[in-house]
Amino acid sequence: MKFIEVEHLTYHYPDTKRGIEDIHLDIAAGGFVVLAGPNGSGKTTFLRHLNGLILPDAGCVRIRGVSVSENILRARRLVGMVFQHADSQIVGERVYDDVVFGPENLGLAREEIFRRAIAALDAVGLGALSDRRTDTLSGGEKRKLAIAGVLAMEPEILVFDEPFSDLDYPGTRQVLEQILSLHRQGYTILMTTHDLEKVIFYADRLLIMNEGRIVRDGTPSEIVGQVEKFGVRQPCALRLGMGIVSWL
Amino acid sequence: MVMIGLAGSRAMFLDLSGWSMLVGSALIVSRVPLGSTVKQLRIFFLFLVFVFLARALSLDFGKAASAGPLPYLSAPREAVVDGVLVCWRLVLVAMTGLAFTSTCSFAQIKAGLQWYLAPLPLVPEKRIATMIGLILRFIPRIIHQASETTQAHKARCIDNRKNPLYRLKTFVFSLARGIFRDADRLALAMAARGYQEGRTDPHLAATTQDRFVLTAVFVVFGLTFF
Repeated sequence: MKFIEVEHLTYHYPDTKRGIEDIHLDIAAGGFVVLAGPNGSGKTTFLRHLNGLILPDAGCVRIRGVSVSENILRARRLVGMVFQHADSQIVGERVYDDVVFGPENLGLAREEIFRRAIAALDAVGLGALSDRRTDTLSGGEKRKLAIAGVLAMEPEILVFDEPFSDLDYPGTRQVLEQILSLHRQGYTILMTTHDLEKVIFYADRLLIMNEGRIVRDGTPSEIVGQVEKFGVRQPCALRLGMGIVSWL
Repeated sequence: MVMIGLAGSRAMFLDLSGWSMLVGSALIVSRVPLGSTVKQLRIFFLFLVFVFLARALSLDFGKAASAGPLPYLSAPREAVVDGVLVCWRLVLVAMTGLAFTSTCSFAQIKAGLQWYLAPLPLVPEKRIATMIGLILRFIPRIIHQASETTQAHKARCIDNRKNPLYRLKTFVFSLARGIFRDADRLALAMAARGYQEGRTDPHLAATTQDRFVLTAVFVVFGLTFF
């Protein structure tokens, strides 16, 4: 079933030729899609079209058959987006205050907001920290809080923009295990990353972007041998002749 | 807090004693670390010294010079009392603010602000409350960013530049760029989580302690004015 349909999506930033050009693809429900590419290739620009943060110059994005531009609030509820810089997206003084921000925006009743917040915090293992000040959290905990804040809106697809940036090894493990757990629970995962090594074993689809276009689209095993010519580093294990292996 | 401020402007020694007991009790119950607080407020206490001296001392070259190192300086009893009262009131206002911010979370302050602004026409109380909440949330981050900017500039020998205006301009531009970039990211993240005006209203609740303090404020306010 097509969960996201992207049709000839084109966008250029004002006064520049940079953006995305004629992106056309579908994403099925339940998949784990990795989008890789060098800096400036248009990955983040593409992601921001999925929930209407950017509206296209041409083409459209449909989530479960409904165009994003026709109902942006619906798109933002269905597509949960976790940004690269966790600190910049945490709005609450305390963990609980941040997690309820999304459900409050949906105008839900206070009891429903409480239920969702507790469920989201438990899902990411932050239930015991609900009263903690957000500026005292570690990098991994902040990323998990950002995920909880999105889960509380009960999305169907989770979009991660460079989820491992600025994280140490324990933080990276925490976040990766969390993402894999969410995928096992049935969420569709779409993730951009420079670092294929961490996630390629788990992905069922790999997209490579370059200069605003999708230049490769297929399974990881089909494509991974060609990634270096598009400015994406091949996983180390592959270079050593070991095939695609789990990073965990 | 408004009532305390108003009453404080008219309060004399007995009234200020009552207020002080109320605020002191609030600070003790809320377990504010008074020792470290006093240490952090030393600049404020230095300011109070200057305020006291300005109120209490007077120079009068028309009078006959008195004995001592400062012949034309005098400290009339009324002026000293006035200086003490002014400084006491200022301390009271500062300690009340401290008690308030120590016992109320940002969410509660936001909720209270929204409740107060709601009856006012043409005032977007939800938007204002959200903005105030974000300012309070991001002040530590801005302070941290200012510190990082200073360190980065020092690492590139900004101290060699003697022109203070140049150093200030460079610092302000770097800091402002970082702040606006973070603000932009925050706005996007809030939009991605469906931020809109029609949000669920915050939950306001008063405990027995809150009602007790409110009653005490009304009582002391009434005694001061009437």
